[in-house]
Amino acid sequence: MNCAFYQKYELGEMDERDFTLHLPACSECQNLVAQDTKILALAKNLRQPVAAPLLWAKIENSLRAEQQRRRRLRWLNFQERSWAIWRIAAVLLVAAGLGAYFLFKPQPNESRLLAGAALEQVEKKEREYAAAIAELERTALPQMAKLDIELMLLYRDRLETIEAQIVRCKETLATNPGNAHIRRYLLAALQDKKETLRELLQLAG
Amino acid sequence: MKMSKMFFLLLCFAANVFAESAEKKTRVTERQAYSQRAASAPGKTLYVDIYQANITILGESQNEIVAEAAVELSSADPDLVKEFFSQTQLVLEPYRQGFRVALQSPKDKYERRSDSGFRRLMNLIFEGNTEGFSMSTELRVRVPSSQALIVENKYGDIRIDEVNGALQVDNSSGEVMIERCAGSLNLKNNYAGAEVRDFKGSVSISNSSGAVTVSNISGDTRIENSYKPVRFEKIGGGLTIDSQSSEVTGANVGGDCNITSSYKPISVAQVGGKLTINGQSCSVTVSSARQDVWIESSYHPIRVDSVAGALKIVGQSSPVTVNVVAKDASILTSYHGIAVQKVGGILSIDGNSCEVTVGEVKKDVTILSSYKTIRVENIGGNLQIDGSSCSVMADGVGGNVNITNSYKYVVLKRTAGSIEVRGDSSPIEVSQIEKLPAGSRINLMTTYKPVTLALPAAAAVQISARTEYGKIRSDFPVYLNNDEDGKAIKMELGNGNTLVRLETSGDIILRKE
Repeated sequence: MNCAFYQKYELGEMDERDFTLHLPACSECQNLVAQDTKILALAKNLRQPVAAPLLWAKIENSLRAEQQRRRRLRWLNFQERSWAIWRIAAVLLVAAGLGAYFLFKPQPNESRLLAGAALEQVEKKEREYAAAIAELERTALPQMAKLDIELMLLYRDRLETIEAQIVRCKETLATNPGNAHIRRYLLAALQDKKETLRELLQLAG
Repeated sequence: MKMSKMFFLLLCFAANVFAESAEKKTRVTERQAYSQRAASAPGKTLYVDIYQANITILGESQNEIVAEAAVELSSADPDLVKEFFSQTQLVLEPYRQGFRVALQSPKDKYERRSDSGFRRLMNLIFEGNTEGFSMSTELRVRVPSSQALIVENKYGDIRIDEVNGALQVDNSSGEVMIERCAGSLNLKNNYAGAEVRDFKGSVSISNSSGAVTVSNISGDTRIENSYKPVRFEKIGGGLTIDSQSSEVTGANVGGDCNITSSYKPISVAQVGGKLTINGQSCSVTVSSARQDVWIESSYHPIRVDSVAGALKIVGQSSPVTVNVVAKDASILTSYHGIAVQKVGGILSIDGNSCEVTVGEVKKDVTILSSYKTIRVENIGGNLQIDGSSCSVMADGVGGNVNITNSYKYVVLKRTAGSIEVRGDSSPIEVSQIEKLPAGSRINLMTTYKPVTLALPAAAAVQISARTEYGKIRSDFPVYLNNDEDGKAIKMELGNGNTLVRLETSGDIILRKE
């Protein structure tokens, strides 16, 4: 990491105006912002209301609370991991003294891999998502019997198809956990399952 | 001073080393590029056999295959990344009747081998690491534009551009885009969108749980999918769509068009060949069909505008709206309204408990319904209605009229042929008769309710009217003929070419117009 601007901005040590002026000239900060946007976009999928309002309200509240805590937690993490301070300091010093070394060091750009905190966050969202779906499943599946036989068979087939996709994605992610493409398709399948269960509840309701 | 400079540099170096080691403890992400090339020849097939890769294949004028791969790895162990890269190679080799491009990496071997010992070893590498080992691959291949392709992939997007050969694509969980290609295409995918644009040749797509979009295809097109929308535009040949629970929308098909789906709307416009739609619980919208149209659906609206051939609709509880059919039209549905305007041939409607509105039909009209109002205007041929408990209003019928109903009004205006109305407790009114052809008949029979007949002053008729309990009023001179069962009259006007018979237990009114 050459540039500490993003971290400073996140910690509130740098105002938005200065960071906005800096951003177009710094590919590293652009990547970090893009990564944040990607995670927020993934998390956004979890926020659609479903027929189990209390459950989803709970999830939404926890997501909101988590966002509010995010800066504080980062600060705490920052303090706990003193090496990070050293790292930033070292990078700043090295940037001042040995800038050329880092200037010519190859940097991966437009990464298609999720790593570290980003990966943990997405995994956490998936777990929350899956738990919420399990709850929704408990309510919706018994209602299937109320449907017309053809509609019931259709929804059964659809849920089986989605479940197979979820299993396939999880199996693949076991050996490639940071692959953003597979993560995206797992989230899509989870969302599909949620929507299908919602539809089922509406039809049976 | 010299010492302080030295100390500063030492501090910098130590800090850098510390920083690097901290980075190592967390994660490294590295990218490596690979490249291979080989001369190709017409008639050869390129097999692209890869896993979890985004693939781009571009057709170009040169006669060689150039494959370039960029592999990105992320791991907490930099040595593992280096080792992995050192054991990874991009292969472009002769294979069957052509060439094969594949990325051979430890991970690839891990995914493909079933040997438990090997898997255990690789598990130590891939799953023993709590931070996880992740990989992403981008493959870009340039091929001769006439190259045949067989592409197999999973969990990656595929894009093929300007390749003119037999194309076979088998993907899973990744977007597929085929653009500006020619030849034939056989595409299988699932759980992600598939799009084909500007293709010269025939196309076959199977995409389970994935959306399909096709546009500007010169040949026949066949699509199978489920749950996600199908969109099409400008298909030169025939189009067959077999979907389950998918919305289907499209326009401009040159050949025959067959669409099967369920539960989602189907909308089709501008079809050159025969159009067949089988949509279980689908709303159906059709416009501008140049040949025959056959539609089967249920529970949702069916709307058809402008059919140059014949139309047949088999609906169940579907409201039906039809505008402009050049040939015959047949409609079966129930419980909802049927509205038909401008039919060039025969119109037949079977609508149990449907309100029916019909206008501008050149030939015969047959309507079967119940409980709701039937309105008919400007029919060129005969009109036959069987409407139990239906009000019937017909205005402008060129042929004969035959109506059976009960309990509700029958009102007929501007008829030009024989009239037969059999009502049960139905008031009957016939007026503004435009023509009474020689040998024609008017029979108006009901019970308990009045019968009103208005005749032209110059009508040539023989009238026989009879009521059980009502009165007979006439603007014409009549002969009274009371009998045991009630009152009856007889009269003759002109040469009496048309026989008129009026019967009811209510009043009979004969008016002069």
